[in-house]
Amino acid sequence: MESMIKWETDIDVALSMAQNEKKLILLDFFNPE
Amino acid sequence: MDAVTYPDKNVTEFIKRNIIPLRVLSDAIPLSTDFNVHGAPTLILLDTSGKEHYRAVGFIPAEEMVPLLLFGIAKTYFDLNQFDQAIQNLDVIISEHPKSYMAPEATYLRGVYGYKSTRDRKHLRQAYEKLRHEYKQRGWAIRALPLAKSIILLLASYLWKR
Repeated sequence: MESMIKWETDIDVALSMAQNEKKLILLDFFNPE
Repeated sequence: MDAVTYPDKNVTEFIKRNIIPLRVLSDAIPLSTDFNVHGAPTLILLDTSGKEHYRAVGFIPAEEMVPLLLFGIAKTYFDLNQFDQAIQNLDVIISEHPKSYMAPEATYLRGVYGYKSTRDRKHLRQAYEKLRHEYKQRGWAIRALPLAKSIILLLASYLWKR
């Protein structure tokens, strides 16, 4: 099943969203293999 | 994590509602070096300025992900001196995820945060008693002994003044 989470891939975009929405960021370092 | 944890409905809904999800390869430069990451999966909670407050390394099963995120959020808010929000998140772990891996540590920190925000030692006593009775098999009662000792010192101080 494909994840329904819409992951951001750019930290600057994520930081901007976090500031606007007053939320924290979950940064996931992953390995697709 | 993609096969089991992230597709879980509770995990997905929690992340969508509470957190901005950001994902990069574990060897992505410069982030992997900036955050000193050496393997995957590594999960890090950042505040709105990008500062790290909590980290978990290794596979997290679906049933443990929400309590783990609540714990990371609580630690972040505590670091930011937002005690009420920190305690609210710990209370959710304690009340809604009492069997989770994070629950004993959440109980421990609930006592510490409650005391630090109010200077009322009842929070330390409550945490110690809960750990002693409900989580003693996990060793957290041992780590909470300083909480109990502080209560004993307070009692001794009270008796000495009488």
